[in-house]
Amino acid sequence: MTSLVEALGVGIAGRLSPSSLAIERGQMVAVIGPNGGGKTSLLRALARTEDALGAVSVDGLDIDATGEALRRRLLAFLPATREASWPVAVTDYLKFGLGAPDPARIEELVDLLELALLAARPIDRLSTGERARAMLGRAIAGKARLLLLDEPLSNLDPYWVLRTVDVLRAEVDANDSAALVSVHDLSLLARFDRVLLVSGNAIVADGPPEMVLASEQFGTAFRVEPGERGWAIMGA
Amino acid sequence: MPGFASLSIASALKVASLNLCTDEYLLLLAEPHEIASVTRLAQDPAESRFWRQARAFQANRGAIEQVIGSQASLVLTMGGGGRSTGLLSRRMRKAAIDLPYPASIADVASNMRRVADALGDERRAEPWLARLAALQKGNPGRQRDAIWVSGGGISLSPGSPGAQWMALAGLKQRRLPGGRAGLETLLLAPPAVLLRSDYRRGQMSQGARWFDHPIVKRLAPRTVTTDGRAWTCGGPLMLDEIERLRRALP
Amino acid sequence: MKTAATLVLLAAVAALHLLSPFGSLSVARGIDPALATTLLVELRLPRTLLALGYGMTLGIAGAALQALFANPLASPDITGSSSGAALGAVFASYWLGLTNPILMALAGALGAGLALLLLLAVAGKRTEKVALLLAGLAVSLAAGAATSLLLALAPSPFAFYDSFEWLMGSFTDRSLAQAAAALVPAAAACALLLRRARALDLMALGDDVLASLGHRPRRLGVEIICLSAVGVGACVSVCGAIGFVGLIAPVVARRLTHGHPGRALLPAGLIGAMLVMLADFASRSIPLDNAIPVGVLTTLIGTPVFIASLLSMRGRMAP
Repeated sequence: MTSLVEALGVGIAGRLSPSSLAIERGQMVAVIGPNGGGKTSLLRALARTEDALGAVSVDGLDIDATGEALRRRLLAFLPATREASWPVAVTDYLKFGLGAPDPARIEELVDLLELALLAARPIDRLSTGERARAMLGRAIAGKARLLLLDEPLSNLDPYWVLRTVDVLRAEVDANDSAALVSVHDLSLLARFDRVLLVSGNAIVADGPPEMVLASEQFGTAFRVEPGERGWAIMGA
Repeated sequence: MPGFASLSIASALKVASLNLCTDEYLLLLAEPHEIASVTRLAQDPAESRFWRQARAFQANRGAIEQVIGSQASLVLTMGGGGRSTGLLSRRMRKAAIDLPYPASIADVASNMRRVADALGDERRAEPWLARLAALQKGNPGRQRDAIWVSGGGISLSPGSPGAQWMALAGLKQRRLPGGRAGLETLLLAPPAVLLRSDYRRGQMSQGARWFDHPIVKRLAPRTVTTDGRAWTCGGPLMLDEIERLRRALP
Repeated sequence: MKTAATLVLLAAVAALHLLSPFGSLSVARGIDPALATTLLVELRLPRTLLALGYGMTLGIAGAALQALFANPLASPDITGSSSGAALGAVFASYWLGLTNPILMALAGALGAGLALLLLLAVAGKRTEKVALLLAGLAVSLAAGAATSLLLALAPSPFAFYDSFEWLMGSFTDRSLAQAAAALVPAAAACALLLRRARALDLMALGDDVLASLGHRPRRLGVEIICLSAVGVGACVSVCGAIGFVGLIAPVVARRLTHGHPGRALLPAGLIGAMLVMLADFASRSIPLDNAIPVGVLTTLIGTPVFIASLLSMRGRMAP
């Protein structure tokens, strides 16, 4: 059976050398790596931003050849920035994630992400954490086959960090889709099926969490190792 | 006047004119060797009919310092108010005459006599005065309703010297609110004659664009063009223009 | 429902603008009915069409620029686009001697486009909001000063007095031909901008998300800039620069569209049209010897709105 997602030679000039990978249905993939190493670039390249190289196909369809309506069903991208320029109400912001009106889905999202109290408020007046939830809602609203989320867990309280991972897992299972999520908190990796380590503008490790954590590339990239009290600086 | 008579006897009489309007009198009445300097404007084809003759002379920009070295023994100004031109010229031992702004044709005539006298011979003004008298005597009694316009619809006040000159050509300048001819007025109450000044006609300005409006163009059959340069001063050069208009108007 | 009400209101304002002052119209009809028609068609109609069209263009272009720059204070005048257009038109007509109104509209469009490009070169699209506005004001002031300089040095001495009309706007004594030269390109530009309204809404999600949805942000940016330059440039070449409408109309429109920047394009256009017609009506109604230029009135109304917007922006930018 062919993979859900096949990426060939995706990259961004100067940020990520052309890389290829395949993602299967139902996979929750974590993307980790040192700052400036190419994590965001991998997600952006897969999302087909303007400077992206290579080709991506989801469900056998070449993304670059599809228009907006079909794209919404195939992929959804959440960038790392939490900036909101316009005083759009949270529910209206969620609607940006849909191609056609779907009030039931909006209600579902409001419940799922506990946005009821914030629903009518303009998004640019929320705290960073609240905005993060609303923006995540926009990204998962369309039930896309591939979710590309850049640091969705930063700015969240511990409750929401864990809750979000649960929500994503539920979405991926329910829709038989896949999610690629960049994370900073290494303790969460056990909840993912697969980990991609991106460092020095390339994917240097790819496999189950335990394998990647124990790998030599991990140590080289992060310069930390497991110690008595959690992580410790390598070689210290 | 004794002072000027003594100046004129000395063959060293040279006159500098510091104003476009006084340039007109000087260029009309003086011999070339009597002219020391005229304004830069007199040499501009867009400003003066005499620009070719004026180019033979040194140009000044209306300031007394510019004629210090010019051997001028007499300085002509108009409306020297505020400038101590008269005072300075006397300090520099030059005579100075400040001609008043003409409020009427009679003032223009009196200025002509005064400048001719300063040049040493009042009779030099006589040809011009004779022509003026002929114009005034043969004045066509019938006065037609007319509007003089320059760019943007700017017109003349009925009491102004320009309007008085128009009367000699049989045209009565209409009184207009704000001194402007609005397009509505031209449409609803068009004058018998639209006297259009062609001052700077080829040069772009919003005022020049006004003439392209269909409502103005509609009046083409009753539009007569006049050389706008003479109207700036409303001085002695108007005589030629009015004689021409008299002949041109049916 | 809201759209219908707005259109009715717009029609009422346009009728008021067209028919006032009513006195001279009835005088004309008394003399000759054909005369009244000529008055309406040759004098009043260009005036009303220009006020309506110019206002609409300012509203739509302003809303589009604000969506593009993600900045609620961007607008044709504050980004230097209007002043650049005036500079282009003045250079073309007073210095190159071009008289063809179509060429002048083109010159205005080029001037507006170059001003926007200069702004982008100086500030870049991703700059902090206030930095972009400061750069825009700098471009605008520079272009305005250059326009006055060109007029002061122009061959005709009347040119200098024209600077007021170029920098403050005027609808007086324009012909139908001039109205067409301005409004045909402006209408085309507005129509094309309105077609991009949805993409501009999505731009609120950021350039990368817009790209992931299949649009091309850079190309869209260039299109918005070119279209607003053409629209504003053509209008400025006939009527001079009118400020603040391109700022206020979108701000008010976004209140009506609950903050959506792209959806606000059409309402901003309608509001802009009404604002300019009302300002022109007011400028002619005040019984003074000298008419107050339209731009003075729009600036008087616009400045407090601008300051209020700036203050509310400041609150939002605090951490």
